[in-house]
Amino acid sequence: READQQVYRLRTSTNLAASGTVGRALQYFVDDVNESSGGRINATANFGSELGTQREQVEMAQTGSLEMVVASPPSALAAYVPQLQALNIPYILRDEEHFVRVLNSLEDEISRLLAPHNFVAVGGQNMGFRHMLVRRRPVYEPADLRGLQMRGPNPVYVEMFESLGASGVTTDWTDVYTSLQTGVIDGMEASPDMIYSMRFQEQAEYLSKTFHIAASVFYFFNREWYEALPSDLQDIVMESARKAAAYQNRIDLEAQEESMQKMIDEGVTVNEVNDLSEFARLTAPMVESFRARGPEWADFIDKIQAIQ
Amino acid sequence: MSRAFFSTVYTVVDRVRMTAVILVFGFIITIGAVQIFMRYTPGLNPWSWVSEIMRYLNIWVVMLSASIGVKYGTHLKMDYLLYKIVPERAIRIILPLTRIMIVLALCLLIYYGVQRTSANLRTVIHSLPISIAWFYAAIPLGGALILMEYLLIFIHGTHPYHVEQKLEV
Amino acid sequence: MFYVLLIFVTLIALIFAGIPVFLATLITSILFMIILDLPFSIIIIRVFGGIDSFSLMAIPFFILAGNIMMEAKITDKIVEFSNAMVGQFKGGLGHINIVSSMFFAGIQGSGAADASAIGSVLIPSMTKQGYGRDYAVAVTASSSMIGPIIPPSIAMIMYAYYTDLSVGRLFLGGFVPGVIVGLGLMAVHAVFYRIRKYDFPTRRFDIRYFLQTLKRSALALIMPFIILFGIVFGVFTPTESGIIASLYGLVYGFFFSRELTVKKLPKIMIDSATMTAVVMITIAMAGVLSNILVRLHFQSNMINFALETVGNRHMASLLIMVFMLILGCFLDPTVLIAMFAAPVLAAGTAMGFDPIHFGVFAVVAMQLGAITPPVGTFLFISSSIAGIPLEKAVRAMLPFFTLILIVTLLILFIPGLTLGVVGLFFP
Ligand code: NA
Ligand code: NA
Repeated sequence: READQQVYRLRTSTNLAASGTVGRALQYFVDDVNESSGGRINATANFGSELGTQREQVEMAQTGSLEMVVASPPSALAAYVPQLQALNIPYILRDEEHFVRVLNSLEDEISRLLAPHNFVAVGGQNMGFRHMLVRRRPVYEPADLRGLQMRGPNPVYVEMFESLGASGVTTDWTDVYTSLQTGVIDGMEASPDMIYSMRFQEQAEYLSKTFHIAASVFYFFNREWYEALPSDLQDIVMESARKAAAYQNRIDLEAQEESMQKMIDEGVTVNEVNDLSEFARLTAPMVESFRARGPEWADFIDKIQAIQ
Repeated sequence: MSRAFFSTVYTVVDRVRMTAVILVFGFIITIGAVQIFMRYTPGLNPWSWVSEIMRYLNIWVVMLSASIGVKYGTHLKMDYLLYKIVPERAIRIILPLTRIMIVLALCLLIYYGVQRTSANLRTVIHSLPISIAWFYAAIPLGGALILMEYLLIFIHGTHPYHVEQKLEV
Repeated sequence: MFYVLLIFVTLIALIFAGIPVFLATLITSILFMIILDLPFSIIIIRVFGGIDSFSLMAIPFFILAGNIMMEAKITDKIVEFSNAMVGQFKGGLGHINIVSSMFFAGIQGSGAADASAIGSVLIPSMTKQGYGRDYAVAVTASSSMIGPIIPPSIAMIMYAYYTDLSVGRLFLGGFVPGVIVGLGLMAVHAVFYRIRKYDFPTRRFDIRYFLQTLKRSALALIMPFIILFGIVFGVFTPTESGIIASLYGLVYGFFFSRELTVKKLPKIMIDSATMTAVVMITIAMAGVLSNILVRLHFQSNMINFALETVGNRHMASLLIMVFMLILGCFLDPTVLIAMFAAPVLAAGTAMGFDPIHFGVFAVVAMQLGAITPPVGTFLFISSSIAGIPLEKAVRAMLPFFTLILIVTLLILFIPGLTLGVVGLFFP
C-alpha cells in the first residue's frame, strides 16, 4: 500500500493575473484537486510572470519544473505544432456557445498533436470575443476602418486589419493607452474585460462589436507526470480541470458583460456592426492562405470548421 | 603542441568571435532603424519578424560578448576585500575552491545548454519558419568560450593573450 | 524563510570570495536547485528568457548610444557648456562635474557611463587643481547617481519591464528628483569646499562665452528632448528611442563634431556589446535565482512582512528601503531590480501608493547600492580613474550619500515630486 502514501506535487502556473477569470479558475482548480485527492496531490499555483514569460512557463512544464501550465495554444504551443495558430484566424468562431463547443471538441486533437512534445491538453477556456475600440468613429462596416491605424497583438491581426482596409501595427500592450491618447494609433481590439482593465475606454469613444477573434487557454499537463499518476488520481485531475474550465467559462461571460456595461455607463458608444458576414468575406482569403501552408494545417482547419 | 600553436588557435577564435559580435550587433541595429523608418513611411509596412529576430540575436551578442568581458575583466566582481581581510593561508584554500566551482558551474551550463538546444530542434519561432535551437545554441557556445577564457586565466594567473588596453566602462 | 536567508548568505559569501557576480548567482542557483530537487533545465530556460525581451533591447541601444556620444566627444561639449554656466562659482570644477552629469543624464541612461565619461575628464582636472583624490571621487560617484534618475534610464527601463509599468511615466517621474539630487549635491559641495578650506581661482562669468558654448553644444543639449518627446508621446518605444539616440550620435559624430571615423566603429561596438553582456548576463542569472525564490514564496512573504510587521505604510516603505540598502552594499542594483522590482512594487501598491510614485522611489533606493561600499559600481569606477582604493573615498562620500538618502526620503514622502510632471503630460 506504499503507492497510496505517496504525495504527488502538482505545481501549476499561468502568466495571467490571479484576479482575472483564468487566474480565479486556476485557484479553483488547485483547491479542488487538493480537496478531492484527500491530500494525495499537493497542488500549488503561481500567477503572472513570477516564474517567467508564457513561453518559459510552457518549457518548464515540458521539462518537469512545473507539472501544469495554463497557456494559449496559438501563441505558446504553436512553437511545437505550428498549425495551432489556425485558432487565430478571424471569423473562424461564430459565438460563445460555438466557441465552447470548439474548445471541448478539440481537446483530444490538441492532446494528440502535442503528445510527442510531452503535453496533455484539457479544459479549454474562453477568454472572450474581441471587439474594436476606435477613437473617433464607430465601425458599422469594413469601409469605416479605411485609413485607420489599428493595433493588434501579432502579425496575424495586422494581416486581418489590412484585409479589412485599415493598417495594422503591433504596439506594445503597455504603450496602447498613450498611443491612443496621442493619436499614434486610431484604435485597438481586445475583449471588453481586457479593455476595461487597462482603462483604454478613457481614450476612445466607440466600441464596435466585431466578434473577429476569441482567445483561449488550455491546461497543459506534463505527459510523463500525468501518465505516472495512479488512474484514480488521473481521473481526479481531469475532473477538476473540466470543472475549473466550466467555472471559468461562466465567470468570463459575466466579467465581459460587466465590463461592457461599465463602459456604457462611462459614456462609451457601443454598436453592433451591420453585417458580420461582410467582415468574414473580406478575411476569407486568410483562411485559404493558412490552409495552403500544408496538409496538417488544412486538416486542423477542417477539424475546427467541422464543429457545429 | 607548442604554445605558439595555442596562441594561433586563440587568435583565430578571438577574431571570429569579434567579427560575429560586430556583424550581429550591427545587423540588429540596422533592422531596428529600418523598421522605424518603414513604420513612419506611408505605403510601407514594417516586417513582422524584426522584433522577434532582434531579441533572439541579442542572445548571441550577449553570450559571445560575455566571454570577451571575461578576457577584459569587465564583469562585476569584488575581489579586493578578500585579499584585505582574509589571511594568505586561507586564500590558498579559497581560491582553488572558487575556481573549481566556476568551472563546474560553466560545465553544467554548457551540458544543459546543449541538451536544451537539441531538445528544441523541432521548436519553431513565431514569425519565421526556423528553429529556436539556432538561438539556444548561443548559450552552450557562449558558455564554452567563457570557460575557455577562465581556464586560460586560471592556468596562467592572468590572461596570457590579453594585450593591456584600457576599455572604457 | 530559512532557505531564503541561506540563499542570500551563500550569494554574498560567493561574491566576497571574489567570484564574478553573474557566476556567483549561477553557482548559488545550482546549489539550491540540488537542495530543492529542481531540474537544471530551469537554468537554460531562464537564461534564454532573461535576455529574450524586446523592452530590454533598449539596454544595448542606450549603451551603444552612450559610447558613440563619448567617442563623438559630446561629453567635451557638455563639460565646456557646464563650465560656461557654473564655472564662475567657488569650487567651479566640482559644480561643473555635477552639472555635466545632469546634462549627460538627459542624454544617456547609465550611471556607470556617467562615472567613466565625466569622471575621466574631470577627476584628473580636479586633482590637478588641488582637490583631494577622495573628494574628486566622491563628487563624481555621487553625481553619477543622477544618470539613472533623470530620463532616459536603463534602471527604469528594467524596472518597467519587471513590473509592466509605463516606461514613459517612470521616466517623467524621475525628472524632478534627478534635478533635486543635482542641486542638492551642488549645495553639499559648496559647503564642503569651504570646510575643506579649498580655495582655487575661478574664471569670471562671460555672457559671450556662455552664448558661444551654448551654440556649440546646442546639438548635444536638444538630444534629451528628442528622446523624451518620442517616448512620452508614444512616437517610438523606449527600445526604438535607443536606436534613434544611437543614430543621432552617429550623425553628430560624423558630420558635426567630426570626431568619429569608420575605423573607430568596430571598437565602439565591441565595447558596447561587452558592457551589454555584463549587464544582461547578470540579469539573466538573477532571473534563474529569482525563479527559485518565487518557488519559496519569497515574494509573498516579503509583501506580508512589510504589511503586517509595520502598520504605517511609510514606515513599512522605510523598512523596504533599509532592506534594499543593506542588500545593495553587496549586490549590484541590476541584480536588485531583477529580483525585487516586482515584489517591492506589489508591496507598495498593496499599501496604497501610486505605482509610478513608488516605482521611482524603489529605483532610487535600489540604485543607492551603486555608491555604497564594499560593492558599489560608480564608486569603483570613479576610484579606479582616480587611482585610489575604493575604501579611501568612503569618508569623503558620506555627506553626498546622506544628501541622496534625504532626497530618496523626500521622494517617498512628497508624491508631487514624481507625480507632478507625470500629471502634466497624463492628466
Ligand atoms: Na539618464
Ligand atoms: Na559627475
